[in-house]
Amino acid sequence: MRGLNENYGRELMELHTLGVDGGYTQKDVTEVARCFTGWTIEKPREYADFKFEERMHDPDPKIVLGKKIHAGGMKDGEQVIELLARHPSTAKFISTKLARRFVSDTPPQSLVSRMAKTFESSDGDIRAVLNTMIYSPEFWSREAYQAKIKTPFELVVSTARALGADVDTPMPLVQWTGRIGEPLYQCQPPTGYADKSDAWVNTGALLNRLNFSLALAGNKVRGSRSDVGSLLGPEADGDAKAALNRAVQVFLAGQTAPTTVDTLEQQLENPQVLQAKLDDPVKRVDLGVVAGLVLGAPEFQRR
Amino acid sequence: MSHECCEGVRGLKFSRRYFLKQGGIALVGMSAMPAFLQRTAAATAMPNKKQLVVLFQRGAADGLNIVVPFSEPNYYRLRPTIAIPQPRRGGADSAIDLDGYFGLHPSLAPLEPLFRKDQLAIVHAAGSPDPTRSHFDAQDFMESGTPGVKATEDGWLNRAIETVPEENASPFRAVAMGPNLPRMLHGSASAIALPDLRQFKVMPQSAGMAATVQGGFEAMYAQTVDHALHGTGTETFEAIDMLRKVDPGKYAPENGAQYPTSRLGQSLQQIGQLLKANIGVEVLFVDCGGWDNHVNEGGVQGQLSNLLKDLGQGLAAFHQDMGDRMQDIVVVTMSEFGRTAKENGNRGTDHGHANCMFVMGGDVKGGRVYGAWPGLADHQLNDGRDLALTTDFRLVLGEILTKHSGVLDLHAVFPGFENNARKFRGLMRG
Repeated sequence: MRGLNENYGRELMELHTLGVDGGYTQKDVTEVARCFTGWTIEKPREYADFKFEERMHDPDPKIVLGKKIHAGGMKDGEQVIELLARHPSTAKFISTKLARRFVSDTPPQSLVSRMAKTFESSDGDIRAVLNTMIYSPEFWSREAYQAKIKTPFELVVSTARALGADVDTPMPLVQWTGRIGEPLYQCQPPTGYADKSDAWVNTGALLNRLNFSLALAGNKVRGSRSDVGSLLGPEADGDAKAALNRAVQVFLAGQTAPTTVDTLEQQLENPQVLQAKLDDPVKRVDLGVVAGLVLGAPEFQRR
Repeated sequence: MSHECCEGVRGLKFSRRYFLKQGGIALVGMSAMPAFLQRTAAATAMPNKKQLVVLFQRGAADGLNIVVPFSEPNYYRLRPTIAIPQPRRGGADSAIDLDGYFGLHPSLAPLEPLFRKDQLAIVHAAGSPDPTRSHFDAQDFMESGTPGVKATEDGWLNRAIETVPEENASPFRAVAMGPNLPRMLHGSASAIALPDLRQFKVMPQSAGMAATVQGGFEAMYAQTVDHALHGTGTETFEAIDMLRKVDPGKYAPENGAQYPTSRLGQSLQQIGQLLKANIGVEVLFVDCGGWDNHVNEGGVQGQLSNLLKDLGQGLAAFHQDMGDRMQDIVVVTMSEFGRTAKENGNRGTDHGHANCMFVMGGDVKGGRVYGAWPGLADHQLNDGRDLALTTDFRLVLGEILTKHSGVLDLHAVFPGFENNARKFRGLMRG
């Protein structure tokens, strides 16, 4: 008998179904791993395709979460999946993840319980669970409004959308997403990236958020072009204050602390914001800077 | 420390900043000395500040192939294809004999001179006593410093700084190299994450706009009612101002040190740079991954060997670059757990229990492998499969924090753990 790689058994229960406190033991981990012996990949280096290898399967009975599994062959693993999918801990685990994603970092327990109930009664129908969530008072509460910090990915995409950017080459945007803290498809732990603000809000990441909004609004991200001038309208061109007010309307839907506009206005009195070209005596506002500043506002970091 | 108290500290920090700015302006009037020089001068003048670098090997490094118990026949019985051969004179393909019982993996050769010069100590069979085999739980416990207790919200390294109040704390007092703050540095003491020193500034398209743009951002984040963003914003702009003066683009390692070009090597070089800049750095964190070798781990050569080359060269270059400064620096390594004593069916190893820790620096009583050796006979193994644990990692860290970093209240750092001088392994001077 060759050695047993128990990693998949643990990850299946800890990260994808029951959750770390879901009530399984180290013994369950090895038993689940035994059930999945023989599940493998055919020619992993050529074309990765699932394959069940009977010769590698451990045919003896196993006990998982107190239930005897002895269905034989590939059915052992399938029974484990059935068992885990219907476990109450899984209902709670999945509901918590959904509520954390869509409501807040610390979703109300009352909401999670109702979602978990729906999960169980609908036999794991995610649409039904989301229905319960969306029609709950917690979902529409004041506390849940803009309770989530945008992930780096959300920030990059929402900035590009706000600017109406034309993206020919997405790679530079992907690289920025990484610099802001979320290298795409490169999350080391199998948990996937965190869905909580403390994973995203820190000095290094915040600075990169600000620099990204400046770069994209200033048309300095290769492969992406946006036309801030037509977004902000003709009156923004020669008047920094008008440009600022328009930018707050366009990018923040007018929702900002009253002090934000005043503060930025003072900064924009800098003569360099009004660029005078040698052959053009009319002063023009550096709209990229105005847009970059507003897109870097605290209000734009939340969703 | 109560929540209210911490809020008070934050408020104080802001007013201190205000004071420094005002003070700086007054001083410019009198002696034309910019505020940042004042601050730098103050940082240099801080007496006997000791620095601690924590290196986390994420993924559970295989301590048994890193510090090899070559005198133990069971080691060779359990690892028929991946074991490191016993030391051979002049043989680069075998363990480097440290003390007649343990040997270094040959890819760690750059660390051998440091061990011989008593600058490097090793603690074997050390780690977290919690039995979990989950990377995530185990890393969490080693970073929170409370094995078995998930509810702990902050990290031990943050609490350690918190117990030594510093009125004029630099924003660089606690720094993590990388895009995100590790769990170990979460908490009420401020800490920053630095992916790259050279990029740490506001970068508008025309350089002449930098001050205007930074001023705009700074004011918005200073005024926002968004608590999380306000605090992070304040720290960010304070740090940018200080780092600008360090001129991180120009750095030449000293004493002929050559850092590897890897991410770890470059992070260690930037740590060296920060330490030499005299900007009040006290604790630094760096991590490196890739240690979770379930498949084809390799022996003298292979995946583990490549990681160890990088680690060994990186630490040796850092030691060389720091020169006499090593008197005030300690580097400690840790990993969430060790790996199974027996190799698995894929010529790799699975999640185990105890591991080895490296402690390097001037205050270290190096040249020794510390910790009781539990042995690798079947009945000596933890759960019949892993190296058993004889030294709790909190004892190693506790001794470093007490004797090197001046932490007096170890109970605040590691709540619920009996951590006293009588139990220390004696690996630090003082």
